[in-house]
Amino acid sequence: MAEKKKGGIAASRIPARHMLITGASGYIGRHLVQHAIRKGWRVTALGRQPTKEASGFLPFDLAGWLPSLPLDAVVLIHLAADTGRSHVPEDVEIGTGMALADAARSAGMRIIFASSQAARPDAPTRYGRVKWAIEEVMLARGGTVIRPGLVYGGREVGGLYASLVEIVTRFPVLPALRWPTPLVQPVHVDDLCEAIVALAEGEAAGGRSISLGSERPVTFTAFLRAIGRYRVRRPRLFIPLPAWPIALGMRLVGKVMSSVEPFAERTISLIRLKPMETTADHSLAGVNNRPLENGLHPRGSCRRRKLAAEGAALLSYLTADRAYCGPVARYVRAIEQLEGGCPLQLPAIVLRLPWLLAIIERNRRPTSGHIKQSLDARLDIALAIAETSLVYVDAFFVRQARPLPVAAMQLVIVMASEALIQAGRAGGLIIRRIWSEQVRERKNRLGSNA
Amino acid sequence: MLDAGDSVPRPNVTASLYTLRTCEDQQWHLLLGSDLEALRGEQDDSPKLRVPGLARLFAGFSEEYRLTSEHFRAVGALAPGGLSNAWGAGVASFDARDLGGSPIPLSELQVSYRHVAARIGISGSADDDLGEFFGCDLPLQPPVALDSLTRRLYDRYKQKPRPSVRGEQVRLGIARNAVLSRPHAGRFGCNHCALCLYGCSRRAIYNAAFDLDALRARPGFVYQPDVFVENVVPADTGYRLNCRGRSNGQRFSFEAKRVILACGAIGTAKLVLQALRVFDHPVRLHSQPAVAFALWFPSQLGRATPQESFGLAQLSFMVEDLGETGEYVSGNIFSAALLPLREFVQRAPLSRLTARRALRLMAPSMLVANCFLSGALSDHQLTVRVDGTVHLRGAYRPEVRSRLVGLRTRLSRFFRRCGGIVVPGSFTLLSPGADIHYTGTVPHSLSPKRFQCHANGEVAGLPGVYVVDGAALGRLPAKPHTFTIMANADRISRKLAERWHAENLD
Repeated sequence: MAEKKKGGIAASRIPARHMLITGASGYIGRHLVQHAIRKGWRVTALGRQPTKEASGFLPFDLAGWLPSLPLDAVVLIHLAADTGRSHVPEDVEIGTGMALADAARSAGMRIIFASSQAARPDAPTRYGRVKWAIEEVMLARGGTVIRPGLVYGGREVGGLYASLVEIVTRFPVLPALRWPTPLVQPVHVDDLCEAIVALAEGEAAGGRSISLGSERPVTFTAFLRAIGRYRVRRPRLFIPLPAWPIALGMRLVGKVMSSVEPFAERTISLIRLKPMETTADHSLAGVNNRPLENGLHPRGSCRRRKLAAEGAALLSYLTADRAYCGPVARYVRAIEQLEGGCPLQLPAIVLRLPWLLAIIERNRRPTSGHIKQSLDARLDIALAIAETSLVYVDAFFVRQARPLPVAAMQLVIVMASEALIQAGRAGGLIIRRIWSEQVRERKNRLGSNA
Repeated sequence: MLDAGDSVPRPNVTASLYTLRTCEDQQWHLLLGSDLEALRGEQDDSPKLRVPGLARLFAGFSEEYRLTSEHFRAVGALAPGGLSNAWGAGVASFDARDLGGSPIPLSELQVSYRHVAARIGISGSADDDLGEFFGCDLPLQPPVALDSLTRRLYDRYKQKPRPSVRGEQVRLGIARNAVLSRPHAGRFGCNHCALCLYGCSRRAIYNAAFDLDALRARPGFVYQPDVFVENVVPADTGYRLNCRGRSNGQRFSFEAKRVILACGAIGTAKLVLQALRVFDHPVRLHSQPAVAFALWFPSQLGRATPQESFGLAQLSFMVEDLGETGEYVSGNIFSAALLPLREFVQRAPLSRLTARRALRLMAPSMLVANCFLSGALSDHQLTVRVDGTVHLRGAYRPEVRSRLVGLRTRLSRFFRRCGGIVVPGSFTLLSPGADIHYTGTVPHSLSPKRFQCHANGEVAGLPGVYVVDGAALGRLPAKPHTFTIMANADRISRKLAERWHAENLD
């Protein structure tokens, strides 16, 4: 069979596509199971309890219980980890990892281990140290190690992300840790799962470590603020606080109150996180890292929300009336069907003040050929939708006759407003130039995943 | 009868367009299309090409005929009734001047005009300034009533002294349409619902598919829909028609002693040229250079959007002695009030918000018009290639632009005298082919050469193959031509029927 390149990894034959996943009931595991099934894999979950998504189940425990691995499986994904609840001793968890790797290798399977950005031999947390030790075991046996940054998005079932969303939801005032400022490299759970499955489908980059996360680190505060803005959709106040004193204070309190200790360890781990180079590894895995504002949307993309905001602005501008759900929904559908569904990235001020569109639009006759993606083309689409919407009928029809002088005065007023608009267009040219530069910058920074 | 299409679904809307627009929440299904058909395709086309219910009508024409084009907008319909599913229904008779050197006997044609008019039902006026222009001695129903704005324009025209010979020489009259104002042959008269563009549920607008229903009821008539004739080749028994089922792709053939072609100027030309093995040889294709413009009547500003109207031509006009050749142009006037406002907003040199506000006020006091020039001013060519593709190259003669300048001036002066203004910037020449009036690719000739036909429609070099559609009309004056195509087909068919009946008796 001809080899097919995907993201730099040569895809070999995929015979019986059977995948084993440990930790399938966890935050990443649930998403990975669904993603793998969508890609045509048969998934067996290894864990303490079966999951409804996976088609098969084998009992497995980090404390040392290891089943006989089925011979028809081609890859084992090891996600399971003790995050503090099971109290599995470090050496036992590392030994279980080693046994898994040996069993997989004996059965001829590839093994992919989900590690962490926090993995280091001198990691301040048990979690980081164990991850590092298992990494060494896996790499020595030809396995592939994935180091994701801060995993977020999708359904919030367990995991650090769910805790952070809960905190941002509950508390209107939050600490902005500084001195030093902790940096994180978020990666959306769906992007991570796509990378894992891609590595499973190809001849995995055995014996190497792959880092996945945002190319440029963002401050932890910025991440929390983004959760507030895009996920929880409530404004939050951030109070600058020194990071180290907070962490050490929490550690002291943790010695008395054991429930605080994990937070202390995580805070210290966060402060001491080292940035990862991820660009090449994302390219190798063939996965783009979506922008935070998209990823924090419950659907994993805020594209439709942006289209709806765009449609509301255009309809409101054209009709001088508020936007209604029906026409906005038809606008979104029209752009998805006719224009590829990409929002125009209108400046926020234009979305708030739609009348500014009068200054920046350029009215021109429809040109032959298909409607091209442009503000003017979308205005024409919105106009057609408005005109065929009952709620806007009075923007297009005159239901009551009026005396000629009254109608003439109304027409004069309308044309006078156009004179102001034409005068304002000089300023509009500047806005348009700024907008174009912003779009270009954003595209360069984030890639084409708008 | 082999027909390429199946039926075109027509919306069964019984309310008026005004009621639909002001009361129906789901109006966008009809007006935009459930699949947003009105927003797809070329946006500078005639509005009727964007009617959602007609999307299937026009789909597939270029693909089936494997058309390529250069500066030509080729439009056709592969459906029962063809383009009559979407036509403007204008009818006019050709006179001796219009026929020129054509071998079509005028007396025979006039008989056929009467036959066709009686069958399809036409309405108009024989007593106005265009009665003779459109043709006399035809069974006419009373004209569809004019709406108030158009009536006002017509009354102003009648009040003014007739233009002198040295004046604008513009004549205005009631439009003559294949639209019923009274019931006829199971169809109903127009009720001014203004849904003409979207489909007439009363069957008031003539559609050739109505005659198909009648034909299918006759014994001996065999109708095969969904069949695309790919070529016609000589065979022992006469001709073999190699066909393909459009929906299942199956290939099959028919044999016939005689073949009558009515595929339209493009389709018929392709079959004839292929049968004659004339490849890479351009043949002339006529179409009428057309302009469109908007009229505004300032004194009527303040009118409300009319609740009733008629969507097709209400008035027609004719301008004489255009240019040195003595040719004339003719055009039609339509109500603008219930046309989609966006058709005007998109073309106005204003911000869309202002354009929408201004045109909303102005539209009830506006009319739109089109104007057609003689097909002699077109210079289009059709070429059939060896690989079976058809290439269309469109062009206007250089004198078209200068003629239009003079025409615009004369029309502006004329309408100003009638209280109207040609809206600045609205006088627009449509792209070649956009008129969708194609003729002359296999024209009648007294001494037909290759790819021409005799007066009886028989193609020179293909005995037993007859052309009865627009391909046979070698001249295309600035007049609606469909009625003449129908009459010519009637004339040829009657003669053929008489001859074949006599042969059978022998």
